[in-house]
Amino acid sequence: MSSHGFVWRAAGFSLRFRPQALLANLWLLLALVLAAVLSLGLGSHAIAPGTVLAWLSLGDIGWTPSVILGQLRAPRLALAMLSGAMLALAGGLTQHVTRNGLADPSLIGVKAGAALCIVALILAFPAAPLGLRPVIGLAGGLAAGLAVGFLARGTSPLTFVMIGFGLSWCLSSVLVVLLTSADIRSLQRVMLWLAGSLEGADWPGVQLASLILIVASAIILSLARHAELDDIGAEKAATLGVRQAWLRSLCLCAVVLLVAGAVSVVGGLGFVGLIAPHLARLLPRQSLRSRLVSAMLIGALLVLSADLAGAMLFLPIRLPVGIPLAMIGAPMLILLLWLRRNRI
Amino acid sequence: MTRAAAHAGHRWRNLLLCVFAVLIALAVLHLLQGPRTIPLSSFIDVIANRKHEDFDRFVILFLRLPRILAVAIAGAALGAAGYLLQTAMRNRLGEPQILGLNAGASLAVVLLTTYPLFPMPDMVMPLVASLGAGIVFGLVLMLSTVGTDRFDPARMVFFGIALSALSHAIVSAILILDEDTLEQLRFWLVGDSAGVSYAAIVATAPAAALGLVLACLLMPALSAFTLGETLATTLGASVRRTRLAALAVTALLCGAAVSLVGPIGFIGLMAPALWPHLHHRPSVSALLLVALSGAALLLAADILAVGLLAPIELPTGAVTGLAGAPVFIWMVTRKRL
Amino acid sequence: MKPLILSLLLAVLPLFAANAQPVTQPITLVDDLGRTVVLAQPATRIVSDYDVDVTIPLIELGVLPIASHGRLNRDGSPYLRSSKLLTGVDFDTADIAFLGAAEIDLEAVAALKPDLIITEMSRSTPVAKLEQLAPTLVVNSDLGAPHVYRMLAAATGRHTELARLESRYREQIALLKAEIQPEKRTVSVFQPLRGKLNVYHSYRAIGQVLRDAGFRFPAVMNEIPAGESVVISAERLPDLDADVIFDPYRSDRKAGAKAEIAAMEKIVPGFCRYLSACRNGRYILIPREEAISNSYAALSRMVATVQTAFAPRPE
Repeated sequence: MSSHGFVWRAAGFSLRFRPQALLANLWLLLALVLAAVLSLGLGSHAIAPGTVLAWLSLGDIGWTPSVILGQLRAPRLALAMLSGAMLALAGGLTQHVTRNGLADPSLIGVKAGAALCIVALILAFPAAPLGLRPVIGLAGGLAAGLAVGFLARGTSPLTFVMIGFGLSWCLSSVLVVLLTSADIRSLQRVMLWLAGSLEGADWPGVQLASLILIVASAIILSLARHAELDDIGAEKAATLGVRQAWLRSLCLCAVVLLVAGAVSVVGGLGFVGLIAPHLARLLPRQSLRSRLVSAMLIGALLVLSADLAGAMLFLPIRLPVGIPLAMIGAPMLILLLWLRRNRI
Repeated sequence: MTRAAAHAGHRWRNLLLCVFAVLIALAVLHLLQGPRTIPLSSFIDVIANRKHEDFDRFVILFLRLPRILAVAIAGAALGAAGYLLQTAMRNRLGEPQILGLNAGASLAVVLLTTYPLFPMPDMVMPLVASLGAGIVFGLVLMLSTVGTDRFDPARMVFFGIALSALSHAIVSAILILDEDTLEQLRFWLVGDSAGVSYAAIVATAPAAALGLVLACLLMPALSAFTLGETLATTLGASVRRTRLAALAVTALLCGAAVSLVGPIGFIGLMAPALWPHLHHRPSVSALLLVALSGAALLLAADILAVGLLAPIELPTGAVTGLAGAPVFIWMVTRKRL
Repeated sequence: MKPLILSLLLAVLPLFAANAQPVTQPITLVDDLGRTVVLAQPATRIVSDYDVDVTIPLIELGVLPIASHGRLNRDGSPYLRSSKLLTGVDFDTADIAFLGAAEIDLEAVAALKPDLIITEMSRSTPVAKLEQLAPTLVVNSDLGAPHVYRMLAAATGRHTELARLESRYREQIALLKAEIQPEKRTVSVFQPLRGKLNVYHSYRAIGQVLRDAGFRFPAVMNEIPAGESVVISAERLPDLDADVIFDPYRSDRKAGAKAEIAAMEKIVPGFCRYLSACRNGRYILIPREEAISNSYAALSRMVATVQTAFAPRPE
């Protein structure tokens, strides 16, 4: 395994670099930055590259372009990248811990819990400020995550995910009950939100999402080495002093935080958590940590390009990001499942 | 016949009669109870074939009775389908909702309602629904069995859920852009038994009956499976062919149920779970017992759907989901995979 | 000394300027979310975020919005729902930019530099986002056309037009009251919905007219909270019987009213037998594209429809 790369050691720390893996992530990062800059310039209102560069260097470019760039495009694309990265990270970790390539974290009850609470808010208080949604969503998601954790205490990760599915169904049924009495216009509004939409993207949302992503990725990436040991086998890992239960519950908390956070800011965006980690596995062999980083970058790239497609394909109609994502994601997922059918 | 076998046969008969009695009791309750308060005298009028212009008579004969029939047929079909799937796959979690059949049926119906390729009579809808269910389920089977020889229950559930989520995403993408279809299908999509006509029952009952008969014929071959696949093969049961036949019959039963009452979930999971030792020895009696319990369960769910939040009527599928999901959780935690 | 003179001059200058140009009073509005919106002068460059409930009222008040939310035909061309029917104005007959259907194009809104954006409560467009582009007014169309029109007239300064529309409607309702004594008549409004019946407390324009004229309603309808609707079992069909029944049918479909009757027949075969209104030929199908709009144009047409429905008929 350590035939490639070199190891850097210092004061009890050791970091193993694999040039190939590092290179792949650098390429991904470059692609992401390019895509971000490109999508700053693209939209229904054409803005010349020169103007974008002037705005980036804090130059004065007039009211219209600066509002479009600063209040509409920039927060939107930042949130697209953040939510993509959050869901991909949660997905990659869940799939690693459960050793099941189909464990989509957004299906294990957390998303349903957050969605149920936010939909109840939308229906009961249509005038409630947007800023309240993340709070309510996080509370609902955490409650659902805790419920799953409680029900699944002492069982295998696989059972944990299955219980998550069950709770998801239960919560969706409650959602259906809520929606049966809803007016058709509210129903469509709720469905729009459930499918995922970046329409409300603003800087406070971006701040919240980045905070959650930074905290969760710090937890996960610092534990990734232990998790990798965990991969070798429970007995061996135990002898190496890995406290599995503790590790797992910490990972669980991070995943719940990520999914609930993503749902609260962009709604029920699907597929990223499944597709991004699988795409990352197509890259050259990597350590868990750098594979998670690749997955995050790929997830960000996916949501960003889906939003761009939604904005540009059917002008002047703008599709909510969930729709192009489903259209891109569905065939891609089936193809990936087929390509990796023996390793899922 | 030995005395033990005679005793077992006796027990089965009593059990079946018991469940049937419960079913009848529920059906009578459903007939008597409803949003409209109907005096007992009206029921007597109906039996005596009097007062032909009375609305009570209409409600009893053309709203409640077909609904009860449809629910009973769909429940029996779903229960039998679940049991058949579970024995054929040796997977206690085999169920149309879980394995993607329901999502496939919804997707097909939504697609054809939004983009009608040809003027569609109502009778085509069941076929379309079955086809969609079959395609998605086929995909689930293909993906989950490739590379392995056996049916891994967890793998199937995961693929079923992944592909269900996929179909749901496409369905909601279509519905967001098309308010009309959303309004038309909003109740059907979660499974709803209101407004079933005799015509629909006449069209689907033969399919359900055929499915049940075929399922009964398959039971002896399937019971050989419980001995283990290698042993079953040496005993002459063609595992592969039996399994395929079982799957085709399941699709038929599901298609019939979905076209009657929409994609209702979890009946196929709950009905067999009521009887803990049923999976040890599959038999025709066991199948009939599950079918009857499925019918009784769905009737009970339908009574709740009508009465729980009256005057608002819930879709029946919401009630089965609320009751069925905890059963799923319970089964998973008990490791009864 | 010099600075003093200069500052005096500066202080006096605005007075002259004010004399030369009459000051327009700033308009202060409290919208239906309880937000305070201040406009320096009546809005003229308006962006509408909802076709039926904002764009049509604006057109009727004599202000063409510069851009509006709309819908898409099957062939991809945009239209304003109900607008051509009620006002003659649509994207192809007037200079109104199309902003999109589900999500509106906020960049296009920013590029247009409107002086007011008007949206409706049920729209998904976040108000916080719109506020960053221009002053934003939120109306609640469930409170009825008269309320929405008063709000829009105040924002656009179209008080004369509002007064005309209001007095026309008052006159129409007065005529209705004088002719058919609504307080002695019962009416109901519902539509079939896949095996069930969809009943509104008051169905948009037709509901407004019926409530304003003072008709009586079946108990089922009065139990529904104002502005909401319920879906009830077909078993309760007789509970919805009245002197006259209105059923808003899909007028934008080719099959139209016939399809609506077929849908009712499917739920309750021979439903006419069980409804006295229907037996008397007073089960009236009204086009949904008119009934759904919260506008004086629609109210006016609904008054006419109600009048015809109750008109005495020679033996």
